[in-house]
Amino acid sequence: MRHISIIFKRELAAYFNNPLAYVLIIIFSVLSMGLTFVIGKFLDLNDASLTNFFLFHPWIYMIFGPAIGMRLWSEEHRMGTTELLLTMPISPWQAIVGKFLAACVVLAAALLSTIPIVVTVYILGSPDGQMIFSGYLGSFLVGAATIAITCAISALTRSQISCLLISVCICFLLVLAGFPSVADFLRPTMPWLANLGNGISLWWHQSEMARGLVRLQSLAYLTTLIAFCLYLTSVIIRSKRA
Amino acid sequence: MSTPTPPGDTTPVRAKRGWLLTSAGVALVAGIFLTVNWFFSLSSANLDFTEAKVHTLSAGTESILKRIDTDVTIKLYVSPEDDLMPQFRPVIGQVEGWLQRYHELKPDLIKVQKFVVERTSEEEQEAGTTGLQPQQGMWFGIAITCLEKTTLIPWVPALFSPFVDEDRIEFGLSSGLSEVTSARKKVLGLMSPLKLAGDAMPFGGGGQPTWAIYEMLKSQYEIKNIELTTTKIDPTVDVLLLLHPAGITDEAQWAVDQYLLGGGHVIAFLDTYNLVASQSGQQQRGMPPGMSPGAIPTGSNLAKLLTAWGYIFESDKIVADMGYATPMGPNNSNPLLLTLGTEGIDRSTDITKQLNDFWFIFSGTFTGTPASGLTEKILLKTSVKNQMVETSYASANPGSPSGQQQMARLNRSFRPEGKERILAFELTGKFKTAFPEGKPAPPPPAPPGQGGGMGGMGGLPPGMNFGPQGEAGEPGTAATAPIEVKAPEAAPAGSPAAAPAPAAPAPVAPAPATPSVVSPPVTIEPKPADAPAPPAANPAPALTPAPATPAPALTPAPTAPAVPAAAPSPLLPPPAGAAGATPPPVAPSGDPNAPVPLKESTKDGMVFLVGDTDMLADILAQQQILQNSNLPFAVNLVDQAAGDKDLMSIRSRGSARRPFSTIKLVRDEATSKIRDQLKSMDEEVEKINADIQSQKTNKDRNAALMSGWKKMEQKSREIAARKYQLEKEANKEVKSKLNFYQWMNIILVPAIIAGIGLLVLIIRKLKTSAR
Repeated sequence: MRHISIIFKRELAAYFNNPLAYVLIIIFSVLSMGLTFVIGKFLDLNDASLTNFFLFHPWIYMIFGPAIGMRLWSEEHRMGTTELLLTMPISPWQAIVGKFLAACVVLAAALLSTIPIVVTVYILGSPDGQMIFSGYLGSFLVGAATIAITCAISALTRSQISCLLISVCICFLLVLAGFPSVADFLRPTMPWLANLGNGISLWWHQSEMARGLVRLQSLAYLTTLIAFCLYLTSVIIRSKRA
Repeated sequence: MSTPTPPGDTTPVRAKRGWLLTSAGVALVAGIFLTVNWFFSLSSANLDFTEAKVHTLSAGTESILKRIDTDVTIKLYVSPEDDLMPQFRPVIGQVEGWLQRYHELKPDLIKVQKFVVERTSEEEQEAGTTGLQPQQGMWFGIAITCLEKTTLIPWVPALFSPFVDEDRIEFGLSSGLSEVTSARKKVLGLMSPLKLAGDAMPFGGGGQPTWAIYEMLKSQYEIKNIELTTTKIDPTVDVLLLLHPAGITDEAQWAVDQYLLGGGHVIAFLDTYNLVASQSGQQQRGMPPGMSPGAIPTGSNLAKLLTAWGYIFESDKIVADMGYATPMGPNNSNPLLLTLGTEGIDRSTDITKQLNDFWFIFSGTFTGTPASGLTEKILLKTSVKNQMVETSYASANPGSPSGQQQMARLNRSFRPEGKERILAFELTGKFKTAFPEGKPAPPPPAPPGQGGGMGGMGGLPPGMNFGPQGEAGEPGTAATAPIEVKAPEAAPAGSPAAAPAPAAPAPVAPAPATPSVVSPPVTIEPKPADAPAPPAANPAPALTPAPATPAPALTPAPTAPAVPAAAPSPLLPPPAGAAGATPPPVAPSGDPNAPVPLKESTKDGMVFLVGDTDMLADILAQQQILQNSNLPFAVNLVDQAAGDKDLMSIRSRGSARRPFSTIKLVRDEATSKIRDQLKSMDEEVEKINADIQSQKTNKDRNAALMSGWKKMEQKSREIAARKYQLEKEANKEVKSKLNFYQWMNIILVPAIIAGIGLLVLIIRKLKTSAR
């Protein structure tokens, strides 16, 4: 745990000691609020449940997650510090988890920056607090999943741009797989594929949790996806080390 | 040239084995990942984080689903999202979620299919064959089919109430499932002179639409219409429902009495001033003159039965409740239209515990204590800020200047009685007969020359009375003579407040002696005949709540010349003391085969009594009544009486939607600022009116009216202009507040974070340069 903590603090300092984290958080805040209020016409919907607000998040994470996670290992590979890091008396797992947690803190800070909308709905109406909590839980897990996917891709490549592009593509497919238009298109001819798409879709799981319904299936999928991607990262790191 | 591997060097083999092992490891972990997720996908376990547990199927639904033993198909027909209005799009996901939950509970028997209906597609044709119709070009309906039976939910968004905290999708689906899978429907006996089933008028005329409550009950029960003159109620009727039983005979009341004592369950919606009935004698659009059906009395009562049960229903009074007055605009509210608050609703009973918004329209109230052997349970009640007022207030059009004056006068002269009154209650226990002497004698036949039906056009055979009538044989007169406000004077205790026929309808039956009036009632009397001619048309009162709440306009009556209220009907018992007064009940005929009348109920009976019938009239205010708890309340009463508790427990669950309730408060705050100005303008109008009334002679009064009329018109125009400005300013204030919240959310936090980031950067730079 001590080693994880050391790596965690190092990564966190790297994020917040340069403009990257602030820029990312500002972009996330402006995007999520702008999409909710302007495109989503939040105030016209006359609903203090924040469901529509959370439904935009998977689309934002499609780019935001890779933007946070792309430097996790690609930077290390580019600077040649991967081997140095792994020769230290820490296991690859500890380094991976430490870095991943630091990236999740940036994600959490970005989510915290949306607190004003929660305050707003409490002023304008009487929202369901439990539903808002489940929406934030879903948003955090989906964001963490996109970071984990990016973490695995960044272990593969030295170029952050390549990592970003590949991760965005994968996240885009995972978000789109369960989108209603896609599911409606597949359901008449291949209902099993439509169900599979829902099962792997980040958007579908987020939409359920945004409505206050936390399925065991969603929790299991997101946590196992994160675990699987971190495992893949470890395999890639070890193979490169070998 | 590659370096040859020295003999004995197993590094490449070991490397290859390592890759194989790694790949196998990755494949194994991937397999575990897929297996675990496939396993969890089979489970429907979930955590419902909503406060109202809207994603959890209720016990009632589970009970209904358990009873299903045949295949049921639920087909959802919906237009593509782009073709739907934005507010309907989120509903699709919610509906699909519900359908999925139903399927998960009975995956073998309940099949769910979704069809995206595009124009001129096969799906559109198929949707049409089920009986569904698009609404404004949009498809969003459900067809539930089991064997030969199909039931429809024609427009799913109607089950979602955007302005109240209720979603009824679970109820809609469960009641549909219950309907298609039930072998036999229970029988609901319906006694009502109102055209609940609607009527297609001859000659291509408009006709009245079917009431929504009728459709809701028809979907669950077999409805049997029973005449108000019946002498026997079939014991196979499971529940007897009386809706505004105006004109019910004593014999029919006796039949209800015997039915109740025999173990039947009775629900009665009475009314002191039924708005639908008040319009029933008016000219129908498209109908040739004189062919409209006769008018229905506006008041209804079950005096004999209620007296036996220990209660009185004041037929000549309606309740004005300042605590539950319905907002009608930025500056006024109507205490005769009640929007019930939570305190007025009993939360201890399944019938009302999940219901919220109730809307009562010119309601009566019940007073009394239960007779021995009976237990009372109050379901709905007024606030303590209520007063019983004359029914003539209800006949005045609130939208007209005179109506507004009446309201203003009512508001000013209002004296709260300080005690709550009963709007709806339940009586259970061992009932005793209201006819201890036995079956009453039938009413005497009408003398020749007097029309047999309602109306009474002289010379026509019985049953051929058409056209709006005043007294029998007289032409109809306008429903409203010019209304003048008299100084309030105490009405004698016990006297009905009926004004002459044109202004207010006669009471239906001889009302029991009314209790003494607590405070001098304000009376409105029509002006004598020498007044200048009034406007001929009197459209039905407009019941339009404030803009902040859904504001359905009451369907105005046709603009043809108005007609008076009901003429005395031969169906009604003659007034007390008149010739042919109700004779005392006769002894049984002596027929040995006739059943012996019951004196007391054989087992515990159940009676529900409600003081208003217009609350169910969605034809009056469709959007309001369809979205509040009035109709679910009525159906809950029927379900409770019929013993069907499953659907009652489902009806009206909470909703995940939470409207912006404080926007209304912001609007009220904005309008209250210049309320005083409007009040002083109202008082000026009152002063002009009072000047007119104070003139001693008709000639002076006429002259004062002519000059005062112009001033009043001008003042009314000024008030209207000021109100418009008020609304505009209120809207502007609300909009600016909302804009503030919007831009505060978009800009504030990024600005703060940018500031923090700059600060950190500056501090680091300073530290670095210091070194």
